[in-house]
Amino acid sequence: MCIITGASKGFGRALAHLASLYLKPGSVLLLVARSRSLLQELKEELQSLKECQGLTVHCAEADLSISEGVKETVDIVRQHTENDINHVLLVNNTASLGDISPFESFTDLDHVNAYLSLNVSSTLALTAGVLQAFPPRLGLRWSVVNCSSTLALQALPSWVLYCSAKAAREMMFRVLAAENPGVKVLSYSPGPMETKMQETIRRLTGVQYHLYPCRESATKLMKVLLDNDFVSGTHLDFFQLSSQYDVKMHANYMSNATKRYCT
Amino acid sequence: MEELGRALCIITGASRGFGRTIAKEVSRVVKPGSVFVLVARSGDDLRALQKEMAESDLVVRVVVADLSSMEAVENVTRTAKEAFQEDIQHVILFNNAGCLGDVSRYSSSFTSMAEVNAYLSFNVSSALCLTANVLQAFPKQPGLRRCVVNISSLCALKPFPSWVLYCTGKAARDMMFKVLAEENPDLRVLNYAPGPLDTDMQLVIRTQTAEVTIRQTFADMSAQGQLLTCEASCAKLIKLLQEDKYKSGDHIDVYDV
Repeated sequence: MCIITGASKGFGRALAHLASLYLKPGSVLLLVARSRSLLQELKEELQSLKECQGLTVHCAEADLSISEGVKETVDIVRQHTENDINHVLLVNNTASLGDISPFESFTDLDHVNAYLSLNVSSTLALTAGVLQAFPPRLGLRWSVVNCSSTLALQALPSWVLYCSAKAAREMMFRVLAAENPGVKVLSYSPGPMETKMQETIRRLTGVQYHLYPCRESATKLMKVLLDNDFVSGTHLDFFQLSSQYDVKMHANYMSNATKRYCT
Repeated sequence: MEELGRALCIITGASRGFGRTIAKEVSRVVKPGSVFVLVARSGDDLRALQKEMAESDLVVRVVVADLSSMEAVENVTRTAKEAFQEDIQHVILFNNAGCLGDVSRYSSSFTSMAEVNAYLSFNVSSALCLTANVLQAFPKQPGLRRCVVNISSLCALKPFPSWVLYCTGKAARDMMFKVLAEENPDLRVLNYAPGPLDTDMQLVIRTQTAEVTIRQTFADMSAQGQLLTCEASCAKLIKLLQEDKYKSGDHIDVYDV
């Protein structure tokens, strides 16, 4: 049973495509996002592929920033507990950029709470809900991915909301890993990709990174999950996983990330 | 050794535990005419502390409020502004208020967004918003030192089973204040982990923690007199502030000092 949040666009969508190639017949792919039409379109794309004929694809139109959205998603997951599932893969990909503004500008509690609700609380509540629906046990593999960022580990001026939320998630998933030896937990930093989020970053900050296709990053993540060689709770970065480890590219990206500020 | 000078000190969670100790110990090392703004939910405890501190040559104001409300944040900021005097040389904000969350449960039990949101509001959002409001109220100006202290924890760095909310909140806060340090080179920002203190919070830890090994570890520490007094840890914090040599944004643990 594979659940991908934020599946309608960008990295989530690319991952849905990749996952559908690797899920065995009888598998269920649950795509979660706010846009019913984009999800439906994705579902039709996947169902038209020869490789996906044994795959059941469901769409869950849900706003994960509110508890009803999380509950509805978990309810749909629960509908499949009688299926012959031997692996649950939950990809927590939904996220928002938030305001990229100086620290002092965050004077409003509601604004900050709303951001943390979507980017931190919903991730925990959803993961907990799915864990309760499919309790880890012998014979049931469990993998959980936290779509993370270099900014979970490195502070960047004007990015207090995003950095804090990613740092929060990083720790949250490390606790989950420490508590559950039966659950493989991975925080994956996908690198700068060709997404709407990156367009927004460019528009707001003027910073232009070298962008990679979502599919390339999704492929690397899929390989890590299939190899299943990682230590639970670890943080892996797209650049570390390059087939030719591009040291210069990584160093460049990291130094640009810290040098440029939003004014 | 730097003097803290004539300071305006804002201390959240000041009614008990480490916050209360910060108020008392820092009041001994600041210049006469310093101002303390003490914030907590417990009015009785705050007023008792205010009385204790009334003998010294200080101005002590109390704000009885739950910081997870905008009204409280504004109230604290306004009280600080009103109490500010032109001869104040140093503004120090001690973000100390915090709570454990329910440590008797594991991550997979946190299915309620309302519960997680309420926790993050008090432990993360309020620290960000209060700090932002205070920095706006006391902008950079010549002759005014500004310092922001985050009372952190080993839990900001290391995951503890059955403590998902506390670890998550502390990790978020450390990063939050690191970003502040990166943005504002003229601000002094310190993430201070005070160590295992002998407080009410510690009592909850050793009696409620679901994870047996952790509960046992802290119970043993308590039994063997290995918990730190708030005073001992606060002395280290004051030393750090007085020496003023730490790298802004760094996480410093009591055992590092």
